[in-house]
Amino acid sequence: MSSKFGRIIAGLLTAIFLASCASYQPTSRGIASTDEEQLMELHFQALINGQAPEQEMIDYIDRLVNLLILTNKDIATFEKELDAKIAIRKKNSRAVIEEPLASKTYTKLLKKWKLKDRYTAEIAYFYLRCLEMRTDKSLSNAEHQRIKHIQQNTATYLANTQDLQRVELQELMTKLSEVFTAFVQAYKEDYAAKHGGVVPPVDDTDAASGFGQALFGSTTDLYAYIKTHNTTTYTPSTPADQKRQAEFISTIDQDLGLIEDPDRDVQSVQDLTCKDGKQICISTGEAGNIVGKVFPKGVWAFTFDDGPAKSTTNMLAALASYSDNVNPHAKATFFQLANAAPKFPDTVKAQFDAGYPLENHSFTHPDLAKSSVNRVHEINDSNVVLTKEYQKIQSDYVIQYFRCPYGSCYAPKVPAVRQMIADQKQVHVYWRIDSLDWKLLNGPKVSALVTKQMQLLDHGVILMHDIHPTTIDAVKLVLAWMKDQNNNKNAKYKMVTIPEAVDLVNGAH
Amino acid sequence: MVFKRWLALFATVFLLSCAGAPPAPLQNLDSRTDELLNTYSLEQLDVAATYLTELIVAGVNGGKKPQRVLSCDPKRGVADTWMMPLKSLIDSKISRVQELYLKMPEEKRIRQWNACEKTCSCGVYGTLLQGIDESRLKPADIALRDQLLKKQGALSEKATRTCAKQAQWFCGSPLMAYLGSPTP
Repeated sequence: MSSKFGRIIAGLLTAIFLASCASYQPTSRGIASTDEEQLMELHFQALINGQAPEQEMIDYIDRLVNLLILTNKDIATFEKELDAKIAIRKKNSRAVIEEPLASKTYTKLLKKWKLKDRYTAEIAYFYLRCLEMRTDKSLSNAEHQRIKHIQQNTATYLANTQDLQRVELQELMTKLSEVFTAFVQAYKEDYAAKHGGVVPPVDDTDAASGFGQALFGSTTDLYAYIKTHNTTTYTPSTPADQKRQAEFISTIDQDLGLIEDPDRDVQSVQDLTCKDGKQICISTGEAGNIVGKVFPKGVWAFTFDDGPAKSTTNMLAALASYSDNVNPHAKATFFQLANAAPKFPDTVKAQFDAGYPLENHSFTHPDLAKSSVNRVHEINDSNVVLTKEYQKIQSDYVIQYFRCPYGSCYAPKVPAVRQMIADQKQVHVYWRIDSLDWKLLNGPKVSALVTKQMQLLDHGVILMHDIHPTTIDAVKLVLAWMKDQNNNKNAKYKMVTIPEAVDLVNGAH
Repeated sequence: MVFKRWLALFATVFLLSCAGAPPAPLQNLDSRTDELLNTYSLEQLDVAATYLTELIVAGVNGGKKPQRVLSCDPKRGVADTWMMPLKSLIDSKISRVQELYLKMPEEKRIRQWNACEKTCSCGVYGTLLQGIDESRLKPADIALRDQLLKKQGALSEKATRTCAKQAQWFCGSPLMAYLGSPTP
């Protein structure tokens, strides 16, 4: 009886679930991120509560880091291979090779980018969770020690594998701040418990800092790293740490051969782009997409899109009057629309006279990711029109950079568009700070958003629009802040144009 | 005992069938955006942008854990990546409705737009007028444009947050799914 009943129930359940599976839809990236986090959390808990949690966690992260290193290597190889295919195709369009952007190599590259993101996210997640757990007062001292070791190991791995930069810096800062607030609270409670409820007599910040450091020493390491996060290599400060780093690197080298990766079947190809160790060059890969992450410390490229417009003249005036101890004058790069530039010949001339590079931002500002857009018109024709306009003033002027409207061809989303840009011998320029000036429409608010991020991120490309009068107010405020930092606070915020930034980055190699 | 075996079998069948379910093919970007542009009003799209901006600004101001705005707040980094595809939608919507708005009787338009604080749409109405060549605008429209942009810029933090909270429909909406998809 019970067998029959069981069969009926199970049959019913199976039918219901099969029906629900049939309508299964893949969740979108943003919504799925919560599920991914849940999975990572489950994994984290499993490791933390395992038989030998510290060792299990270290082994696991060790493996993740090794996979990450392999993935990075593969990405570099696939990019070279893809660039080689593209170069062959450019030289001889009838060559019998796979269509580059429909090739297996490209598929592998996409896969590897995805893997890289996953591995990095997982390591960063574990690190942040450890950091968080260390403020949990319900844990015993032994548990705190264990978590501390795990977190230190994660931090070292992150730093050693040069991937801490990929962890959202802002997130870390927020997390640190939360931890610090918890220190302050814990310190106050601790003090009050020991002194019959009396409030601590000394300044919270110093005392809590000491208290926090005594409990959670390695946050200072992280602060130190954040201060110097522009350097891509973590340099240990003590000989013992240096030795540990050397040992770690040699271990990784040995491990490289041990990890199996089903996609590692790539033959080496000739490096046809970014020769001589250059980091930025014409490429459909990451090297051909300027974000500013590889700029030297303190270097910022201000960029203005969508002009020229009536307000551009005022923007030029705001920039013209600027100088500080680091910057003899302001520098900026303008990404212009081909349907606007011919209407403002005097403005274009003034921009040339002031020495600002003028670059391409398409013909009519469409979303180039849409297939209905006439991409040839927007990329190639705009180039012809803008070049003609610019060459009226400087006969040998060549447009070297392109920025897609809405940043919609930030690799690898629209490979075909990126290929068209590369075919024009131009490098795509993205950004690191979005000023949101088009939305905020308020000088002080935009300025606050930009300067706060400049302090956090240290270097990169800033996106603004010279078509909004309020952006001029914002630029004035950002410049005033920068002048104060450079002249009075010993800071070194250096303004560069995009071509100068590229020279700085490539010249350094 | 038998029941347990059946349950195990059921679980296996379930897992196998789910693992093998083919992912639905992605719709073409153009048709997806068309659908969204037909679904959402300009005001709704702009409120969604206000919501994301609020998250980004709060995230950058950071320090303390940013106060939650809605139940589905994405992380700052995610909100950052959603802004541009959303701006693309707003611009497309503006170009669709620009002429319609201009054809509205002037008095009605001015009355509706002067009350823009209620719909949190001062900025987007101002931007709409900003996108039209001044030679095509009447003096009253030029004055209205400047006034709308000024109103948007003068929004207090509290008012901005109230506007951001108006985007409650955004959680779990097709717009959110679109922005969160790999190629919005």
